[in-house]
Order: sequence, then structure tokens, then C-alpha cells
Amino acid sequence: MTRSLVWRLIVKDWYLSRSTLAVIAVVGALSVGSLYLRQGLTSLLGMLTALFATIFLGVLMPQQTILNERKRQNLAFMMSLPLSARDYTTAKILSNLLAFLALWLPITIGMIGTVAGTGLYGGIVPLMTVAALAPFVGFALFVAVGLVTESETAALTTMAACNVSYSFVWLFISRIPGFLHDLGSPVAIWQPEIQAIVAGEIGLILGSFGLTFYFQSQKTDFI
Amino acid sequence: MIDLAIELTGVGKDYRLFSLQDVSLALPTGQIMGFIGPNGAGKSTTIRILLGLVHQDRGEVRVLGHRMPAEQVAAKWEVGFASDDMRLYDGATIEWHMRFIRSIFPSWDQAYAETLLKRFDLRAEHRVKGLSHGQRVKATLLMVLARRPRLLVLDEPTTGLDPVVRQELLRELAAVMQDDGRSILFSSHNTQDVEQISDQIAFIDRGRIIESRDKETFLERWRRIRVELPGDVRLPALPGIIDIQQAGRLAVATTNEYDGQLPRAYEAAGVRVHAVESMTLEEIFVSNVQHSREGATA
Repeated sequence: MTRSLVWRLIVKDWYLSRSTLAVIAVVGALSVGSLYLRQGLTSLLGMLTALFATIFLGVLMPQQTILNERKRQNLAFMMSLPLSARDYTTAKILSNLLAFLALWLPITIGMIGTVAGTGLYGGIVPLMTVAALAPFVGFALFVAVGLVTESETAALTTMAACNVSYSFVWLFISRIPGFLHDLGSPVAIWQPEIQAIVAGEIGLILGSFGLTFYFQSQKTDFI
Repeated sequence: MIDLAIELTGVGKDYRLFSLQDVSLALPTGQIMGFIGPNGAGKSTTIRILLGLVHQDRGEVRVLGHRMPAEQVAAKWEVGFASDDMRLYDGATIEWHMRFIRSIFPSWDQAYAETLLKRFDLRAEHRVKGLSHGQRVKATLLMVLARRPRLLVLDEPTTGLDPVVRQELLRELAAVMQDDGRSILFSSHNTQDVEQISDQIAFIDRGRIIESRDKETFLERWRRIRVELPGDVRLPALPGIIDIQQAGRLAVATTNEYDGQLPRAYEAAGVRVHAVESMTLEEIFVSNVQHSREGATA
């Protein structure tokens, strides 16, 4: 693998997505900042805005760096560079993953940390963790399907299906015995079901990226 | 042994509605090959196989001595590729693209890049988004040429360009060939461009190479012979004649194996030869494709 070339492709993706990343960074910072005000409605709005910011990030970044590259016919230019399909896949996954983590992690840690730091609302931390991982799962699936199928329709459909599936997750969580009681607890209570959901989300994220490498290695046509 | 920049042997690729069949080509180092075919003939598929972007189902491909697609990374350091459907990034400037390519290729020649900027009448600070089609093509070629690759693979680079821009590009390609160690594969359905700069010519149609020779041999061997018959008889088909168009006593015979004997053979048969005409590459191409298709349906 040509590491320095992969790194240049990563930096290239960040540069070309810099406006999107900057807007989401500002929105994310304002959302997390609003939690410090500790005013009911403002904090709730801040939490929702932060969540939506990460959802948008998870769609816009792969859209710009993977799908638009094909749609706007930049892929031939990229693939004329001395890189293999594996190099290309690595560069795309890393540029997206690192950019996503660079914004998602501070937003998520800021959000959960602020709530947990009050010492009053620790009970909602497990639910917040599941919710914060949801955009990450959607993002990982979007990147994987976008790279493997090279189809915007397939990637958006997968993302939509993922979001709809979360309705069932919320329904399942609401039926966990004692869950509503745990929500009001000042400390986080990690029920086994919640732990399983979080593990499932992490598994889906890792699996998506792993399978992307596998399917890309099976491809014989790249343009 | 001839040093080959490109060597394809028995290459095939199957799609649901199209097949590339038994493609064999050889481009000696230091030469330009014009690769001509109608739309959908298989030119782009062949070129993508050459670059390792599409993997062949059968056959062997060597580019600058590298086996493709296995050694495509090593090959692509020395190959410059541009195609009519290749776009630079709309949101970035020409200058940004130049820096990007320069950061990857140690062979990048900044002085030459700046010369090309002036010669192509481009401004480095311009965003790609605001460029015309011709300017975009020139900007793409600048990125490729300033790397000074040993092999240039150009897939219909002159499509959609006005005559002035086309001539600028062709002049630049001819200048590249002043260096004996460099080679160009140049696909087009514009035979004028190919005739102007190529040493070798390959015709492709319906996924098959129908003829591949050096340009001079093509132009020497293809002739149209205008004759007048003594009476209302059919013109005899002599060896080497691939097409006869006859209207009454006048006929035109086309040959792809012309030598001085053919007119004499007709005259010996009592046919009066009015003229032996050279053919343009376009006429040769059209006759070749028609002959090949008639052969395929016969």
C-alpha cells in the first residue's frame, strides 16, 4: 500500500469537504454549548440539534467524497493515480471515518459528559449512548453501501432503512422492564438489553467497514 | 526484440450485452498508436483494461513491461491517462490540482506545467467549475503531460473540442514525441486527428480488432480503382478486392492489398482503368468496418 499517497487522498477529501465540516463543527459546538445553559427547552433543542448535526455529517461526507466523485466523473482522475482498489478503499474509509470521529466524538462526549456531569440525570446516559451511536451506524452503512454499490439510490435507501429500523429499537427499549424508572436515576444503569444494543451497534459499524474491504477486493471493474 | 510500451495478447472481457474478443495489440516504444472505432466498439473498455481499471476475463496485458492488472500500481507511476469523461474537481482551482499532482509525482515538471498553462491559455487561479469544456480538457491534459509519463493513454481527448483547441492539443502531443522513449495510445472516432499524428493505427469494431498496421502501410495498401467495363458484365473480383460498387459499365473496386499488378490484371481482362485513387483514413476506416461487418454476417 502506498501510505503517503493514501494520506494525500485523505487530506484531499477533507479539503474538498471543508465547508461542510466547518458548518457542522460550528453547529455541533453551539448545540453542546447550549447544554451548559441547563435550561430545559434549550438543552433539549441543543441535544436534538447535535444529533441532527451528526446525522447530516454521516450523510454529507460520504455523499461528497464517494458518491459525487463517481457522479461528477472524478473517479477516472482518481483511479489514474498509482493506487490499487485497496488503497482507494482505505483512503475513502479513513477520510470519512476520521472526519466523522473528529466531530462526532467531541459532540457525543460533550453531550453525554454535560448530562452526566450534572449528577442528576445520569439515568438517561445509556439511552443517549444508543441514540448517539445511531448516526454512526447509519454513516458506516452509507459509506459501505456507497463504496461497494457505487449507487446513490442504494446508499440512501440503506440509510433510510437504518433510520426506520431504529423505531423498533426505541420500541424495544421502552419495553425493557424498569427502563422508565432507570431513566430518572441520577446514575447510569446499564441494563443487559441496552448493553446488547450498544454492542450490536458497534458490531454493525465494524462489520460494515470490514465487509467493504472484502467486497471491494472481489470487484473487477472500477470505472 | 522490439521494446513494447503496450502489449495485449488474446484479451477478452464479457458483459451481458457486449464482449471484447481476442484483442491483440502491440505498440512499440517511441510511437503513437491511433485507436479508432465507432461508438461502443470497445475502445474505452480496452483502455480501461490497459490501466487495470477493468480486469480482463482472458488474455495477457503488459504495460511498460508490467503485468496488468496485478502490477497496475507500478505501471500507473509511468502512465498518464486522460479521457473525455474524466473531470477534475469542480470546487478546486487549477493551481490546487497542480499542487496535488506535484505532491504525488516526483517527475512533475513545474516549469513545463507553467509553459503549458500559458500555451493553453489557462489561469492557475481559476476554479474548474467556471471552465469551458475545452479549458477543462486542456487542464486535465496539463496535469497528465507535466508529469512527463513514459506512456500517455488518451481516450477520445479531442471529443467536443473546437478546431483551434484540437490543433493545440495535437501539436502538444507531437511535441511529446520528440522524446524517443515516450509512447502514446490515442483513441478517437475522429480519423483526421489520428491520421495527423499516428505512426500505428488499429481499427476496432464490435469488440474485435479488425485491422492493425502502421499508418503508411494502411495508406499505401488501400486504394480505390475506378474502371469501365467493355460491356454489360460484372466486374471480376480479383484477389485483394474487398468491395465492388457497379453502376452499368462503370465500377469502383476497393482493395486493401494494393500493388501495381491489380490495374494491369484488370486491363488484361479487358477492363479499362480510369483512375487509381488514394483513400483517406476515414474512407479506409468506413470500408474496413463495412467489410468486417459483411464478413461477420455472411
